[in-house]
Order: sequence, then structure tokens, then C-alpha cells
Amino acid sequence: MHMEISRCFPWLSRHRRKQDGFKTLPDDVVMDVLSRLEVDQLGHAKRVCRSWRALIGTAHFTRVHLQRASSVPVISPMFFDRKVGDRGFLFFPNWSSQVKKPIRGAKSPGFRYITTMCIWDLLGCCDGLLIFSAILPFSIYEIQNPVTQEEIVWEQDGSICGFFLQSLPNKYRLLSYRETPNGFLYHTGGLWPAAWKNVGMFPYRPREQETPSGVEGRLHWMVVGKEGMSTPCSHSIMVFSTRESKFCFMPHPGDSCPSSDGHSNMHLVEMKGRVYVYAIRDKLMLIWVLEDYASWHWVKKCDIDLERDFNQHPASESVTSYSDYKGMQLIDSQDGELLLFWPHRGFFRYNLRSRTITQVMLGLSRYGMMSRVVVAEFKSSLVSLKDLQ
Amino acid sequence: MATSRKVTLLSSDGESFEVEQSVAVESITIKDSIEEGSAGNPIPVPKVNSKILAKVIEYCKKHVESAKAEDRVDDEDLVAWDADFVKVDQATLFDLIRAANFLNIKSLLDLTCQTVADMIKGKTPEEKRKTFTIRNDFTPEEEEEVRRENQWAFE
Repeated sequence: MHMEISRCFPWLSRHRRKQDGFKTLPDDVVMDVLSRLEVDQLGHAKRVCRSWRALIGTAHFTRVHLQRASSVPVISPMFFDRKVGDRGFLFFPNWSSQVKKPIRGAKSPGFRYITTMCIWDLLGCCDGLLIFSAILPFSIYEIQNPVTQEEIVWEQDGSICGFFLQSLPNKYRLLSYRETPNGFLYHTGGLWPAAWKNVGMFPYRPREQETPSGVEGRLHWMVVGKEGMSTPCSHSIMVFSTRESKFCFMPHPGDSCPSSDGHSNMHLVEMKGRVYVYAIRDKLMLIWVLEDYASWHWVKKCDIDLERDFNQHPASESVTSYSDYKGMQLIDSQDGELLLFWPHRGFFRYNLRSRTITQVMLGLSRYGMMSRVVVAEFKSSLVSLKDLQ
Repeated sequence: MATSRKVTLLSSDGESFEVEQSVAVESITIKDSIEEGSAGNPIPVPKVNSKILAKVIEYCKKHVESAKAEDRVDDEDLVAWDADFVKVDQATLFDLIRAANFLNIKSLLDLTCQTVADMIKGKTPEEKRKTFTIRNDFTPEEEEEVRRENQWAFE
């Protein structure tokens, strides 16, 4: 019937009245389309109509959107001359020379007085939520979504070393440890209610001021023993499975370290969804990537001859010995280039093919005082702090 | 494997399209029904009219051919071809999304959804509504509430 009419009146189909195409699509397809928008666009999209607002507001949408998002490193610089009350700032390195807007620390009304007494450290990031700890005067922590500017501050015993999403049940959890005479006692728990659960006692704890590398439901840290003693090479990396709430201790890639201090120059870094280890040995930066977790198979990605390749750059004029390269940090990788931080000198892009370096000016003025950076992988998201319950 | 096997697809408005089986099975929906032996002959494709089915078949043909090509340089050409393919009026674009969703052709669904997402980007809420003829069904109070909730997006 319909066929006959459209044959008799062909102009009818050509002049189809323009209508809201979204109304003809199933919800999951509309979600597919909207999940491709950047976070700031979603703020605008919520204002279009009720159904868009409702869809974007669901926890399911937040997850779908998160899965599409790509991560960028967020950098917290550590200045040599940090003072109490120094909130510091975070920034996202844009690979070109322009600096992204630095994010100020959150302003939390209830704790305003207290927070001015603290020095804050970036502990990590999960699903777009940043977690900070304050060193003095007592242990307080803050979780913040820098996009929506929601934040929460709370006081807690013990040292938090991990923040993750536990898939069953879909809840955000904290991992913390406390030192006891027999070792370090680990617990997992939530925010409210806390409901802490014992997950084991071990002789090792994560190194300070190093964020965990979290990939595929597992957190990784380089560890040390009591009083910061070095661990045996076979037990230098601690892995926590968020699915099973279990720990295991694994060897680092490469040869066993010659001296007991050997792997203090070795660091984990998470870049673009994969776990890497880099180590400064003599004047080389050695980089491995974890190819297969199940078999703990690491592949050497490259060796950077720091002395040869950085020699051309004016920044290396002040280099007098190998130890000047020791504190170099690997931050990000993109399109065959690595982003490196060189203490007191600044940020550099290293091209793996041409082996050339370019200094990246990030609009900061106090490189001379910047001794190291703390880095976490960040994804802009709309995750609400209400989801922490 | 018989590569030149052909199947016939029947659009919702009664038109028949004969295509290589390798092209038809780009649609997981069709692939499943062939494998289960439940596909008739011709295979009916309800909800998809001849105009849209013709376009979908054109897309699948191009992508199957490109996958076979020895010359991997075709990747950029394929991207350009895809970009041209979605240069259609809005109604057709949404028809293609529905068809890709129903027929379960992931790459076509990705392409069309991304095209619509790109059309949404960079516009104010009012511009977005205009582009897609969406009715603003917020009450003034609701509108103010949403604006306040999403204040962070405007800083």
C-alpha cells in the first residue's frame, strides 16, 4: 500500500517533514552518539532536552563515556622549597608549547582552615577522580573531580596507596596500609561506610610519592621494606588485583641489580593504558613495557643514550656527572615521542626515530626549584562523588 | 570456501538486491541468520527500505573489497570514501544509523554515530536543538536548574 502511494506521489517522500532524528533511535544508540562528546560538550548537551539530560546523568552513560575517553598524564610538580599551605597545582602537558590551564586545589569550606596548614601530595587518579593526601599535621585525604569540581575531604588512619573501582560490586575502593612490628598490614575499604577489610600483611610497602600504575584491574608499585630498605630484585614490584583483592610480588625486568640499592633508580609508569618500567643505568635510560601480564613478560622498548642525545642541548651544559641524569623521569609517550622531565631543567620531548630532543615550555617559571614530578594518568569524566558510596 | 556464493536481500518495500554472501555477512544479523539456517531466500530485511538498503550494500561492498586489496595504501582512500559516504541529508543519516544498528554492522554504526557526534560538537544548546529539530521540553525552572548544575562547563 505504502509502496503504491509513494509511486503515485513521489514528491511526498522528497518533502519528508524534518523531525527530531534522535527520537527514532533506541536509547543505547543515542548514548553511543553522546558518549563521543568531550566532557565540556556534555555540559551543554544536558541543556538541550529532557531525554538527553536524563541519559547523560545515568551511571551507565558515565561508564560508556569513560571507556571511550583517552587518558592524559596529569603532573604535580614537587618544588624544592615547598611550604606549608602551598596548595601547589596540577597541569596537563599539552605536547605543543602551550600550557593548559593549571587546576587550583579544591576549596573545601568545612576544612578551609585545616587545608591551609597542609602540604598536599597527588596520590593517584581513577576514572577522572584525583586523590590527594596531606602530609601534616595529620592524615587527611581529598578526592576531587576537577571537571565537575566536586570534592570531599576526610580524615583517616593509615596511608592510602591505592584508589580503584572494584567491579563487583561496582564501587570505588581505597587501599591503605599501616606499619606494625611484623610488617605492613593492608586493608581495602570504601568511603562511607568505610567497612575496612584485611587483605594481608607483607614486609613491603609502596615507595613514597609514587603513584600506582593501574591497568586492567591491577595496581602496580615499586616497593621498599621497613625503614625504606631495598627489597630483593625478585620482589621489587607489588601487584594488587582489584578483582580478587590479592597481592603478589614480582621481579622487575632486566638483569638483577648489582648492588642492594640497584633498583632505586627504577620506576614504574603508566602510559596510554600500559605499564612501563624505566631505569637510569650509567648514562642510559632503559625502558621496558609489560607485554603480557599472565606470563609477566616484559619487552625492552628502547635504550636512550642520555649523554649522547641530550649533549647537544644547552640544558646539558651544566651536566658534570652521570648523577645529573639520575632523577630523569619518563612521563608520557605519543606518536613515537617520549615526554621526559629533567630535574631543575624542565620538560623535553624525545623523538625515538631521529633521537632528537626539544624542550617543551610549559609556562612555568620555577624549573630551577623543581626537583621531581608526580604523575598520574587522567581521563576527563563526569563521575560523581555520589558514586563513591 | 565458495567465495562467489550470492544471496538475495529483500527490502521492506519489496525490492530485491542480489549480493555476494561475503558482503551480506558484514551484517552480523544476517550472518547469524544464515549460519542458523533460519534465513529465508530471499532474506527479508524489515525496517530498511530500498534506498537505505542500497546504500548499506554499497558501504559493505566497498569495505569488503578494501579488506581484500593487497595494497594497504588504500587506508587513507577508504577514510576519504567514508567521509563522502556520510555526506547525506540528516534524515538519511539517521536512517543509516537505524539500519546499521538493526543489521549490526559495527563499522557503519561507528561511522554514522561519529558523524552525528561531530555535528553536535561546538554548538550552544539552542544551536544543537536547531540543527536536529529537537524540541526544548524543559520548563523555565528546569532549564535554570540544569544551567546551575552544569556551571562548571561554562568556566
